[in-house]
Amino acid sequence: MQQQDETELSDEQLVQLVCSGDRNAFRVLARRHGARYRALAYRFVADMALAEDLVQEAFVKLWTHADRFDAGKAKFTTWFHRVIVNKCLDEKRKRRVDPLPEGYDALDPSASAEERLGQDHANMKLKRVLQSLSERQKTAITLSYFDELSNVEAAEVMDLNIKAYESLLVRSRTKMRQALLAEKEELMSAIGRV
Amino acid sequence: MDRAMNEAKFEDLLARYGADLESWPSKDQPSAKAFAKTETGQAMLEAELQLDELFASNIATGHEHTEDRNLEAFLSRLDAVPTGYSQEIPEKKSWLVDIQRLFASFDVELSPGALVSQMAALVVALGMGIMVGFSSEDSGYVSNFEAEEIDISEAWFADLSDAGVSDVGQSAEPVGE
Repeated sequence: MQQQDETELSDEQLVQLVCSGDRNAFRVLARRHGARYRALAYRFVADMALAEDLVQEAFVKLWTHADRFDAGKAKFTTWFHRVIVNKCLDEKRKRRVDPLPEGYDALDPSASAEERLGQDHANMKLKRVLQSLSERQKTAITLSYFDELSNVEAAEVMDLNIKAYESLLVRSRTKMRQALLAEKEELMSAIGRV
Repeated sequence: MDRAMNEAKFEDLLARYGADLESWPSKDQPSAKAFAKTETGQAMLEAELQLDELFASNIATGHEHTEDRNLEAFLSRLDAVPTGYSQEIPEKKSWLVDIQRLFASFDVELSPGALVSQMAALVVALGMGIMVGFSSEDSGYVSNFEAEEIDISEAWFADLSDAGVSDVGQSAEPVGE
């Protein structure tokens, strides 16, 4: 089959071709989803080199053991999200300290100094608030708000039923809001207004 | 219907429906709007809006890196995966392959169709044999044989000379005669 045709195939059809050793099908899948999973992994491990290694490992597994994907049970993206998330969580368990994101201090030439300052501030705030969450809560927030999966898909990735996932999401959001409020109160008391 | 609103309930509804009170269930709206005017309610609403802004500003850690110049290098590395690794996918085998392997030692070439017909012939022959066996007149032999209640142990004690026993009770002949 020509590569031109393969770009029009669904993920599930491509995996079937990968099973039979079709290298082009694999490349189409990698090009289609590589960037997205790289960003997802980065949100978990906050280190781009490590995120790339983890995603590459997952793609190597996809190539060597493509038969482990069962199209009858889940969509490819749901299954692969789970593979990546589990890999990242395993990696995080191995590490003790979370470093700041790589390039956190790097200048972005496209933004003005003021914009950069605001972006850095917001970025740090988000990171601080996320740190108040448990690993499961962080995973739910990452899948729903950053990776923009539907609740049904995210629940499948986390192997939860939809009700359990939604209540996890509600708890996570509540906790984030409480962390924001606590931060504000702390700031107020520091400047003597409370 | 206006229902009492407290901090816990307001917090739960806020997390479920967001900061826009108009999108909350109509039955909860009056009490929610009243609670939102309190200092606590106001602070909670502000925090919720701030959270929305954080998510909406698309500054999710890492997202801005997805379009960087290293992305192409990363994707090229993924492209090269099939060249660097061999697949470990077990070959899907038909049961016919196993049967063919069974007959491999025979110096005959059998097509799958021939194998199936051979197997079918074998099954038919076995079935017919079993049926003939059950329908045969000799099958009564078994029940007659059982009815006679033959004691096969009778012969075991017929001659105990080699055991050195002189009195065998019901033995017909005395030992040594």
